[in-house]
This record gives sequence, C-alpha cells and structure tokens, in this order.
Amino acid sequence: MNSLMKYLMLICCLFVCSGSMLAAEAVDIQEWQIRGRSETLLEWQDVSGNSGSSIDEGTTWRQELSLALQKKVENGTIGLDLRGRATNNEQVDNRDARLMYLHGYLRTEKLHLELGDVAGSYNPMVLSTSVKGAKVAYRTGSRDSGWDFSLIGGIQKPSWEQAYDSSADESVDRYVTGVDATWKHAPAQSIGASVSYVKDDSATVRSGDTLTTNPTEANTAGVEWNWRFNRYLSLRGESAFTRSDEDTTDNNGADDAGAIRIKLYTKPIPRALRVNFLYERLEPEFKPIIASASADRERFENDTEWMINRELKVRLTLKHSHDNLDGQLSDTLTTRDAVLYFTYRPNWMKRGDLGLRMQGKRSTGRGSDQNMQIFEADFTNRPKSGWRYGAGVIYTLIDDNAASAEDQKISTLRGTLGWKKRLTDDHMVRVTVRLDGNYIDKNSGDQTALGGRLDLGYDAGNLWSMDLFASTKNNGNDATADTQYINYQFRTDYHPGSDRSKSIRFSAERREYESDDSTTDQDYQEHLVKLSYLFTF
Amino acid sequence: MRLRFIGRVCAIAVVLCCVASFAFCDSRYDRELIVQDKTRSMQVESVFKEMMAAYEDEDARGFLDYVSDERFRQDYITFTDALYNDFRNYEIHQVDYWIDRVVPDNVKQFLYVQWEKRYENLDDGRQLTQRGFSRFLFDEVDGEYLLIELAGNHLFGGSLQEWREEVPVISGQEATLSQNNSDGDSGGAISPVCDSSNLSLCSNSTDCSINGGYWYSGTCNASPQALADLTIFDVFASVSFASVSIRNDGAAESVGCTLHWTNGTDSIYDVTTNVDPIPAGGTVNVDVVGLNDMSSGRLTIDSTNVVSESNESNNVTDY
Repeated sequence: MNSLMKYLMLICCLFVCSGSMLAAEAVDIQEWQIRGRSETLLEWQDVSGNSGSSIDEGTTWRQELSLALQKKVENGTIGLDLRGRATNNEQVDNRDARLMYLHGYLRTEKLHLELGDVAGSYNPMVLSTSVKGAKVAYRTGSRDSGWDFSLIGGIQKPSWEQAYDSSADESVDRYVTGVDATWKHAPAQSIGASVSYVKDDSATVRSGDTLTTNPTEANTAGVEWNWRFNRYLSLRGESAFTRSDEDTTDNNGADDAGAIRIKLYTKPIPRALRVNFLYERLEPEFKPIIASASADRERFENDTEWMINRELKVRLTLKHSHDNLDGQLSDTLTTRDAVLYFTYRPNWMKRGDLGLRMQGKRSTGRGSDQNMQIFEADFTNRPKSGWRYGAGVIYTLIDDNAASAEDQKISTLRGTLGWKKRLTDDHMVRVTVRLDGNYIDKNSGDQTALGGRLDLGYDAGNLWSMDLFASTKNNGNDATADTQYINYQFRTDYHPGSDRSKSIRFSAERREYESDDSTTDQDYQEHLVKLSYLFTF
Repeated sequence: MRLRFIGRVCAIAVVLCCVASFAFCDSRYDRELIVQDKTRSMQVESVFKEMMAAYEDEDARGFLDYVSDERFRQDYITFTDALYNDFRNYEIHQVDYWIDRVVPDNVKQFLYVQWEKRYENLDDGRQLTQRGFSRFLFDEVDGEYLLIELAGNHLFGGSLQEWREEVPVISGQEATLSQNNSDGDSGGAISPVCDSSNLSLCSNSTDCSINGGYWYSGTCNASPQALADLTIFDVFASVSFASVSIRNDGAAESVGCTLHWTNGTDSIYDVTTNVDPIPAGGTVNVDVVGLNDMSSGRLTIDSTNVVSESNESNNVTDY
C-alpha cells in the first residue's frame, strides 16, 4: 500500500505535467501562474515551573511553504497545490519535515478531476470526509439546472508521510469510496442520492499498542433533498440506511440501521417571520463511520424568528431530544431546552444594540437531573466618534439533583470601554479596556473571579502596526485553591516598503499562572519570543 | 536522524524544484503578484482565526457570527448550548493552534487544525491542558465563509455531553484528552477517549459527570456511589419527650450524625441528639428529651449534613 501511495504523489506531479502537455497541443500555451505563501518563524521559549504544556524550551524554528501552480487550458484550468512544513519544534510536530497537503486538479466547466488530498461533503449521513486519493465530478446542464455527479475514492490517512513512509505509519488503513448524484431542478430545488463504502484493513489494526480501535466496515446509502416550493415553504433533509460492522474480526456480523432528518422551513410573513421545524431520528446502530451523524438520538426542534420591526428582532428555539431508542441502555438521557433571544437596534443608536437571552433547560437520566435557567443581557455601542463601550450581565441558576452534584448560582458581569482615533490619513491609535467578574454561589464553597485586560494598538498605515496587551484573571475559591493567571504580550508587524504582501512580525509574551494549592504544583512562568517573516507571491 | 531529515528535505526540495522548473521552462513565466486575490483557503484560515479570537475572548455572540445556523450539518441548538457551557465551566487561558491543511470540495472547504488549549476548570480550580486534532467544514454563504460542521477532538463545546456525542471521530485525532501528550502526536490512532463508554478514562469530576458517570474514590464510575438515605418514619411525642424512629433506606451504612428538634419559634429550646451509625436497611429509635412542649415541632435527621445521602431532601419531618 505504501508504495502505492508513493506513486500516487508522483502521479499527482505527472498529472500536472501531462495535462499541461495535452493542453499545449490543443490551444495556445497560456502562461503558468504561481502563487504562494512562505512563513519563516524563529521562536525562543523559556518555561519555569510546571506548565502542563508540551511547549519546547529553547530556540526553535519553523518554515511553512504553500505553493499554488495554475495554468489555463482549453475551457479549463490545471493546477497543483502544495503545502509543506519543516520544524524542530516538537510542540508543533514530532517530524522534522512534513508534506501536509498535495492536490492536483484539472477543472473544466463540466468536469473536475482531482488527485491527492480530495474531499467529499455529500449527504452528511452518508459521507463527509477527505481522503488521499482521487475524485471526479461531472456536471450536465447549467449551474442551476442539471445533474451533478461525483465519485471519490482513496485512503484515509492523517498525513502524507504515513502514506509513503512505512516506519512512520501507525495509523489504520481506512479505504473509502463514495458516489453522489444530484439533480438540480432549479435554484434551491435539488434532490440527490449518495452511496458510501468504508473498510479498515484489519492487518493495520494492532491491539495492545497505541491503537486500540477495531477494524470497521460500513455500507451506507441515502438521499438528500432541498426543495423550495414557494417563497413561503421549503423542505430540506436527508435520510440514510447503513449496514455497519464495528468489529470485523468478531463473528457478530453487521447491523442494519436507518436515520432521517427533516427540516421544514416556513416563512409565513416573508422577511419578517420565519418558523422552522426539525425532526430527526437516528437509530442506535446507525454508524456510517465517515459521516457526521451521531447515533441513538431522536430530536424535535422549533426555531422561530420574528423581526417585529427594523429595530426589534425576537428568536425562540425549542428542543426536545432523547436517546436510548431501543431501551438497551440503563437509562434515557432526555433534554428539553428553550431559548428566547431579543435583539434591539434602536433607530437613535444606529451603531449599537441591546441583546437579551433567556434559556431554560432540563436534563434528566443517565446521571443527570438538572434544571438550569440563564438570563443574559448585553449592550454595545460603537458611535462614529471612535468610542466603543458595552456591558453584559449573565445570571445562571442551576438546580442539580444528581448524586454528588450541587445547586449553583453564577453571576457574571462584563464591561468594555474602547477608543479608536484616526490621527492622520493612515495613522490610528486604539485603546480597549475590559473588566469582568464572576461569582459562583454553591454549598461546597463560593468562587469569586475578577479579571481585566488592556489592549493598546497603533497602526501606521500599510507600513507597520504594534499592539500591547495585558490581561489578568484572579480566582478566589472557598473550597479549592486561589489562582491567578497573567498574560502580557507585545506584537509588532512591519511591512517592508508598505507592501502588505510582505511582513516581518515580532512578538514577545509572558504567561504566568499561580495557584495556592500545595498538593498539586501547577505554577509556571513562560516567556515566548517570536520573529517571523511572511510573504505571499 | 539528521541524515534522514536532510534526505527528506532534499526529496521535498527536488519535487518542488521539478514542479516549479516545469512551470518556468514551459511558460514564459511571468512573476505576477496575485496577492490581493485572496484564495478560498486563505479566506477560510482568516475566518478560523477570527473564531479563535472570539473563543479566547469568551465572546459567544461574536463566535456564532461565523457559524451558519441555516446550513449547519449537525444540531445548531446543541452546539450553541455547548459553546455557552464551555464559557460557563471553563476559564479559557490560551489556545495555540497550527493549521494543517485546507482541502476543498468545490466551494466548501475542510480545514484541519492541530491545537493545544489551556483552561481552568471553574469547578475545581485546576488548570488543564488539552491537545487535539480537529476538522472544520466551511461553506460560502453570501460571500462569507461560515462554519457548518465540526469533527475530531472537541476544541469548541467539549464540556457538553450531548455535543460530544454529536461530533464524529476523525483519523489522526488525539486519543485521550485532558492529558498532556509529550510526543505531540498520536500517530493517527483512533482510541477510546473519556466518554460515556469509557468512563475510566475520565480524569476529573467534570469530565466524568458530563459523560453520565459518578465521580467518587478518585475515579469515574458507571453507577452511583452506594449511599445512605436517612429518613424519620415515626414520631411518638409528649410534653417533654419525643421517641423518634429513624430508618436507613440507602445501600450503605450511615456515619454517626445528629438529630435536631425545634419548635420553630424559640431557638433556646432546640435540642440536638447524637445518632449512632445505622446499617443499610436498619432502624433505630432515638429519644429526644427537651425543656419545652414537644408535642409538635420539626425534626431534622443529619442536621449538620455529615452523611452523604442518595436523597438529601427527606431529612426534615414536621409533626
């Protein structure tokens, strides 16, 4: 397999070359365009104490390079995109150099051919993933009407070196293929069918090592629809059926399961009122592996938004969901959730708004027995004078009856004050101060947190900018240790020749954490200095 | 090691040179700057950076401006709830992230990112470090790229069990969270993490409880801790005397505690009597002798709340 992947990369390069030669015979040779981005970074880091971070101490460097080659051919474009990184910073990467992205393509109006890192986001219950392989997409008709066909196939690997370097390959070989056909009748009227197949190579799944996953296999088929009937009513959704085996090495066989999601979008008063409904049911054994759907869930939702007038908007979301659809779990987790939002943008304060959010939530089952109410209000205004100010308050009541849990009352207060002034044509100074406080009232011990941050910035047009930032957060806990986190940053950005395609960046930062806890020593001080040069071309 | 590194760098350089030289030799190459023409992948990276800044600022509304509620492919309401839950439970100190790649599916773009998040758990005051590898899908909505799907490790919303169950696993994600991984790479493992099926991997009470477990004895358990449940089931009272029958309906023996009597008006007549440990299912009779009329009043078993009980709400009896 690994040799196969080596050749896949080679094919990718040849793909561009051969495609270009073919194109060269067909039409006048167009000019190649090359564009890219380079970032060279030098870092110095010093850590004292126990930061719990994987940060590398000392001096490290990093070089990233992105290249995009592109050439117009007859009725289309051919190109190759690459992205690579080299570094000696173990926090970023434990390899010295890595090819992160490789993508060759030929695109015409009707046909897309892709090789390398390719992706498919079909029906979310069937296939939503990227693989290292190939993809073909073909379109008939126009952009708004006609058929769209897509075929994708390849192997799922976290990185390219695991594909071409067997010594670095600790990942499972997961083979993926998928097909999608979508009929577009008109704008916002389409229906599609998708099929996917995924299978792990059981020989690459080792137990007792870092890999403890089981080899899986799944066949999934589904349909997806989006149909706008008129300006008042649309119906969207997807449905799928899967036959999946979560462990192909046992003799338990595969499970069959289905899933459906229906979304009804209504606009009883267009531009003023929309009322949406959702129903979703995913059976417990619905495990398509490479899709984005979770199993064992039934959900009913309503989302209503009413723009009462140009100033006032109200939104209400309601949700009921529960799992344990087949009753196999010891208990059922049920959630009921209601959120009401108000947004007020008065005419007399064009650049300000007032928000109100109220949430009520009840969770029961599987260790949870909680009622929660949240009241949140915030206000911001950004007048043309350059001032920016705002305040917010959040009050949370948690009534928790679960074992070992306790009731809580959480109060949060925030305030922001900022000022921005244009001095000359291109020069600007800005200051922002933010304060926030948090108070948690509970039986086992109250907590009080106070924090603040100061941000000072200066922009000298396209030439340079700088920023000074300091933040602190102090937590006082009755039951646990008091803690303090402080962060200072200085950043500056210089564009040689006022050309924003080039940038020299410098930053210095200190992070400090102190805890009064004598049993676990988490105190640390970190110093980070970074110097980087970026340019795009 | 060094030779391997040099070899790989040379190999990559050769490939890049071959590709570039082909382009140069073919084409009367013109070094045209197309900087202003921001590519889609750059747009997506830029949106992601704005999202990260909003997340570090704990600015939920600002963050959700970059999420499409209409095209979101998972449950938008659950995700919104999970985001607010993060800000309620955690104090986000620092998120370092390194964008790995952006893979296009026509207009939609998959962004892969490796990250390290440091935050303070407001429940127990501990600072935690999580490393992860996540995938985000962005789609173009009215000319702007917005988030429509999340996968991999839980960079956003990981504090809510419902949301954690919603997010699919991806190849290459970190095997365990809430633990520092010194080598920084799981090697593409897809291994169990702290979730409802793997409670033993939960390293703190918050992760345990959000996954439906019960935290006691320093570990996360699937079943509740066996607890006592004291209740007063019979009272025989006279003018200066009350005989109180107490039963332990729980599954564990209680510890010694107190029984408190009050008439609710004058605290100087309150009486507190010690109660010996009661085995699970056992019953004891305790006599309370007072100085006032005890024919009516309020009795509270475990009045100083020293017994961990499965039901703390049935300790008070008015007679």
